[in-house]
Amino acid sequence: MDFNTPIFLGFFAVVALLTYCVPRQLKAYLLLVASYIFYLYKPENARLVMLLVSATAVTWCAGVALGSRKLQNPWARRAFLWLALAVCLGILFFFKYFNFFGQLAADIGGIFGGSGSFAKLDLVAPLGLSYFTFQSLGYVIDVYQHKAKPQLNFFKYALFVSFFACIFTGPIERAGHLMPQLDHPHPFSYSRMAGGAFRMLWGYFKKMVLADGIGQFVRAVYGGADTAAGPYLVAASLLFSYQIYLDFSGCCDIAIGGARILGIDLLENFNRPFAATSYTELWNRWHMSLTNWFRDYIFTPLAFYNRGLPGVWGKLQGWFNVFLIFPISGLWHGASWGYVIWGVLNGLFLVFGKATAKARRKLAKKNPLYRFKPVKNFIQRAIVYLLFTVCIVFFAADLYGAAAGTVFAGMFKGWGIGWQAFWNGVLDRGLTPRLVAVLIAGSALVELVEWRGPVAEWIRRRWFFIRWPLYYLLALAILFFAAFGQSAFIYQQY
Amino acid sequence: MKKIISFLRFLVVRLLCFLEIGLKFCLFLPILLFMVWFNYKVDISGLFQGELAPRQVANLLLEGKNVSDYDKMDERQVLQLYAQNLDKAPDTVALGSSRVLQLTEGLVGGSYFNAGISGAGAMDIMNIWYLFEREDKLPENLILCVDPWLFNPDPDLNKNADTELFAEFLEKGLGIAADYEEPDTVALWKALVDPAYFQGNVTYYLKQKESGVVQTEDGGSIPFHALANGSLGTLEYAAKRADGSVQYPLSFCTWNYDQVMAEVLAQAGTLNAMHGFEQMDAYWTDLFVRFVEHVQQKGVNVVFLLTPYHPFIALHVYNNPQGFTGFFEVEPWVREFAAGHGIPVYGSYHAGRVGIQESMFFDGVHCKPEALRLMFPGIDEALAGGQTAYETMYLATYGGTENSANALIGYDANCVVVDADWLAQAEAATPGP
Repeated sequence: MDFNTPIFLGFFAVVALLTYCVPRQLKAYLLLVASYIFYLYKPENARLVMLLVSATAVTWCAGVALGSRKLQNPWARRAFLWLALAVCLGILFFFKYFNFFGQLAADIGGIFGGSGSFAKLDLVAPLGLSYFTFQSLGYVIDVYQHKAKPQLNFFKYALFVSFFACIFTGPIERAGHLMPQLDHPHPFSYSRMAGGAFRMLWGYFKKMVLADGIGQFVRAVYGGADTAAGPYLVAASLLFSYQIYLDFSGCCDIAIGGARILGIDLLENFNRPFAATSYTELWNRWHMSLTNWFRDYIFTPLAFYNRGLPGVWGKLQGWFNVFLIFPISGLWHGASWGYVIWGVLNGLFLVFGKATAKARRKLAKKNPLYRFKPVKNFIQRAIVYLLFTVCIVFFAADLYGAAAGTVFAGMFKGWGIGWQAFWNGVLDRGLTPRLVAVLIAGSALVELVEWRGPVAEWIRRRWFFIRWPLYYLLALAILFFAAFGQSAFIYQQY
Repeated sequence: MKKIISFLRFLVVRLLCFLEIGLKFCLFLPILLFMVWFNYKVDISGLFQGELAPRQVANLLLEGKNVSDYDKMDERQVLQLYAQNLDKAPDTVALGSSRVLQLTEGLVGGSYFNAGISGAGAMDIMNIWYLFEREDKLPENLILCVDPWLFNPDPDLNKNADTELFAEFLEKGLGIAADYEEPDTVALWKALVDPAYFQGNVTYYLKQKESGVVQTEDGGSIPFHALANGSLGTLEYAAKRADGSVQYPLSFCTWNYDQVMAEVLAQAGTLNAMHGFEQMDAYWTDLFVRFVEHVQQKGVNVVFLLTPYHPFIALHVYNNPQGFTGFFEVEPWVREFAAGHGIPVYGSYHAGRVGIQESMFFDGVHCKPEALRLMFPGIDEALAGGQTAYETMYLATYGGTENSANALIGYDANCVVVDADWLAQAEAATPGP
């Protein structure tokens, strides 16, 4: 079931009510049952539920074994680690990448005289596959590295892997953060409940009003990318960056708010990414749970194993480690060349940023515009946003069935249309003046509120006469302008 | 003891907390209630208020206005919405086919609504009655225009009727087992709280506000609009009067003798509703009896009205009775049944029986309002068993003739052509609009 459906709201209300009715010791078991009901609600997941169960069972066994004091033999420990890695990555690879790499192999074979054809399997990956495999892998690695204690209770571990708030769209939780909360959930408090409820409302507003509103325009432009004039393609691409942020962060707001009501704090996944003044900072603020996962389980080990290389080789190695994460991240999002190119571009921008950081800092000192901090911030943020948009075009193209090459080529055509014609074209592509006004005002509200800190805490500090009008405003905006039953969360498919 | 106190404290704290949460959620109720109210009132898909076009007609009729473009109306839906939204039932309701649609408020008297519909079969008549009954808007008096085809078993006669509504009437009204299933109201309830439906309603409402014209869901125009009383007689299209009766177009009302006779000839050639009417059908006759008795049990006064056929049609059927023999059984049976149930009967299928001249017909099956005025004295007089002055004078002068007398038991198709001076005198003696 999707977060933006009435059935989820009903389900969540029942779960929340039951959670407060049962003793704290039983809470985890109740949430486990609820999580599996949530997961099995989609028929495609029900067919493949054994994948979730297998990944859970294998990684739990591996975790228990790795955490056992009796198992001190390093080879045996490695064997358990590799077993968990093989099972989780095997499932992930088979369902998500088998066809992609099979076709790639066939294409390469074709260059060397092979037939070049590949019989694709009819594979449908269960939703949340990338999330629960990464989460359980992270747990096993943490236990292996003695960063986390093993969870001996299978059911609590199963809840850790399948907790419904984060199984489809993250945040990708860490054992050290979530596991203790499953043993000792936060006691009920009205303030937590109210804050969580507001965070959910906030998430629905971001997703259903703003993201879906912008999405109508982007979908229409990308759907006709072959014929769309440059201004529309540029506008749609720029807007898509913000749309995907609102969509994904809105989803995370719902997940985090919902979990908060149930007495569990999830990891934050976003921290106003477009306030970043450098590309490195952007990635420290965007999809933080995944970025941190890559940092801890790929970048850090790579850096550790390659430490001590002399001079420029060491630098190059470091940059390569940074770069490498992004194509992998691209593949994590989906098995297509568009995502790989997205990753490569991001990696290149990041490495370029790191490589030229010193020189740019020197240049910046001589830039008269940079003497005013707001101007400097604005320019830097605009550049970061533009670079991000260049990359995200590959995402949007993949999502809306356009060719990225066509989009980029189209951006340079048709700039002769006047403002009036452009505006008329915008109105023809799913937007209305009323909706445009709501999108502008709503986005300003999002930036303003999130600038003040975490929204759940922020709202609890506000006066009643500010809080309630805001609740009403958001609820009415959703009622009047949300796109109901039209769009799933973008990140759900990854 | 400490444990019990602690447990009780826990319970009280939690209960109070739930109460606080519940109260806070109640503060959102106005939004929900507004949505429900708006969905119900605007109701773009017609789930509660009916489709937009018939709703427009029903609303205008309820406001007491005449409505244009009768030919484009879905009469069944209009009547359903009319009955549904009626504040108070009219004193008298007329049911029947288009052959009753010339019976106006002026001819009946008192508060009155003509709920006749074109081509009404037995099912339609009972359905429309049930619409009023279901809404608990029963009139005091019912004028039932009994068309002969009500007893014809031809299933085509009921092809346009709402079979589900009929099944509901059979089960709930007459207590006869039928394949009636209660409609699924869950979908309706869902629509009331469906935000997507709300948005559709808001868009429609705002568009309508901006344009100032009632439109269909997709922006198409709705042809029905209010008409002033004075303009009714000059229209080039049919209109529904505020009392439910129909004003035909000027061109139709002013047909000359040749035009009328051409139409009469055509109708005599087809007589669609009566083909294969060999005898009165036992099922429909029984149902008719039950229906009338049911209406009477509800305390409603029933009056039968038999509107005449053009004399040429009657003559044609009389000379070519094959396949129409059932037609001849109806009037005697109706009169006998009415006498047994204390129901006054006015009019006759045979124009000669009530002295209706050829000039008083629009075509072969529809007589003009002036014909109805001569044979129907108004509801109060009818319930008192009175006759029109015309009818009394006609029977006194011509009642002894073969044509008139035989109409009581069967059919003789010749029309009595009365003396022109006598007719003028008798018309003048008959009050009415």
